Amino acid sequence: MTLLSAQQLNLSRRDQPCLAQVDLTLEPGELVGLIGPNGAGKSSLLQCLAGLTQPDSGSIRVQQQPLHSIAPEQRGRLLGYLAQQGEIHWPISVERLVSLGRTSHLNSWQQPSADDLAIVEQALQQTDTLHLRHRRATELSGGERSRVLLARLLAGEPQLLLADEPTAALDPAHQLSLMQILRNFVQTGRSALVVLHDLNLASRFCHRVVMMDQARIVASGPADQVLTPERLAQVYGIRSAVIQHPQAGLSILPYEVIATAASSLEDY
Amino acid sequence: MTVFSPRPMSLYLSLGLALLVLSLVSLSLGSSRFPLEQALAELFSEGQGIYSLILVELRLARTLVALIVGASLGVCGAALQGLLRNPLASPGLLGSSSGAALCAVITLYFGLHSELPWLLPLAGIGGALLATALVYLIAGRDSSITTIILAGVAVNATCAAGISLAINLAPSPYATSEIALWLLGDLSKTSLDSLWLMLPFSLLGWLLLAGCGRGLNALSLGEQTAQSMGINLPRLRLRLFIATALAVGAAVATVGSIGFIGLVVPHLLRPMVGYDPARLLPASALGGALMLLLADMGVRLINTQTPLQVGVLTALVGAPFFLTLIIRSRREAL
Repeated sequence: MTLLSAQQLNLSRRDQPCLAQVDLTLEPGELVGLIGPNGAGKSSLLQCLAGLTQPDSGSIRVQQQPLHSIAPEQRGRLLGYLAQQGEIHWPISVERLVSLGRTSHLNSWQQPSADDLAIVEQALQQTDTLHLRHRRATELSGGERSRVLLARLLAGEPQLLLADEPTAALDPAHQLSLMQILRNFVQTGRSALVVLHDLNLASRFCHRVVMMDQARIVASGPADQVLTPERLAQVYGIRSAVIQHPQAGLSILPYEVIATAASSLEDY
Repeated sequence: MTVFSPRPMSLYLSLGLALLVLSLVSLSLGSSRFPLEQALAELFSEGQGIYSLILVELRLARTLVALIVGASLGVCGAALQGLLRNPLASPGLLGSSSGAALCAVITLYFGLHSELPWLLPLAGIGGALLATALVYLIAGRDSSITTIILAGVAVNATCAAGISLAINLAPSPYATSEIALWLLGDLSKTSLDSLWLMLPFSLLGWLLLAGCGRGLNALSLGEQTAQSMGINLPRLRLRLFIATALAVGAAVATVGSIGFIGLVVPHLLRPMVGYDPARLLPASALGGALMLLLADMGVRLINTQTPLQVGVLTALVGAPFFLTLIIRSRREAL
């Protein structure tokens, strides 16, 4: 059964299109990388799919049910959303922060049970943050913070994970282990849509890559079909070498900004 | 730095115990000295004597009103600080305090309260509801925190202007002094009647706040994340607006404006509950009650020619105390 299907999504803000006729489906077991230049509409798409922004038109269904008809608590259990700028407002402990992931599983008066706490501990372990559990969440480094926020998401045990640039603040080792966590996450029939700027991570770990440009989806499929030098030139305005490496697989090496794109950048 | 791992129950219990002891001390404080045993004996015998009357009608009423007002100010301060994720939010930020004060001052201005004493608190509660509704309507349903704060500032400023006008144009010096003293906060005129009048509004406000803890906790991670976790943000906001209008409105309408309790108490207790916004709610209610009770005992013990108003004492103690807290937290951040 398709986990999520979005059809003909349109969204504009101040007369600027953010999404134009976007169609997207996510199947169980799929890790999908959402890529595209800045301002292409990736975050807007994620927010619509998470039910945080109402599209101007189009339909979104999660497990066959229209998204708007799903009660907020149930939506919270089905979908996990990781915002681009992860906010943490009070210096609560890391453990307490991660246990907030259980919010949609508990009612207003319920305290987390032993089972909930075991799930929280597992999420801390998975993200290599168990040693941080008593630290103040506001005093973590950028990378620790990203991992802790991901742990919060995993503790919610959603069916579908929507993450906006989760690897942005991470060092290479933690980038690789985070992508591996996402691979493991989808193995049990769940799925994840992840906004990525690192094309190599997208090609190495994602089952499918969806490329957006100027509010539209311009390509979707396996990495080797989507990440071609021609398309990268067209969408990103870069010249790149696409190399097959025996261990790393398909690797993309951008080496030059195409002159026309460069001159348009200089106009700023 | 690690977070002090809190045991909220022991904090609640110690605050509760301190409240109980201080309430008993508060009952024995007053201008007339009499044996407490005799008052209690009168209470449990058939005929009512003067001692039991003083004990119940004056001291018990005053103590209970202090507890309820303090608890309302504390819990509403904690709730608003959680909603706006701003430790500087005070319970009156959404207009309830100034709206209540304005309508109460209008009643005092026209001298209506001397014939209809119940009108003063009722007008105050009405004013609080009106002013909060105005802030809610101006800010809109899905507004940002900044818009809510600005709408609150605008409505508070309008109410303050109205109060100034009333003082300026007051019909007699007596009315001016009555308005000015009322605004300073006063528990000495409370009675069992005022207690019964404020109680249902306060209880309703607390009840509405009691279910907000989960939403406030989720808001620690920002509005988008909280919504994605299944929190109905517009509903949470509306609930908090109504709750503070009722609880703070009833408090200000009964005893006048009492500052700093709603600001300082949550700030002081936050580290003791591990910065958890939900656990802070009951802790701040107990802490607020404790602080106002202490302040009220203070004004009764401090001998001044003109009686000291309780709002003056909370401000005198609260402001430097708040300053120390800020300096200490700045040092910790370095």
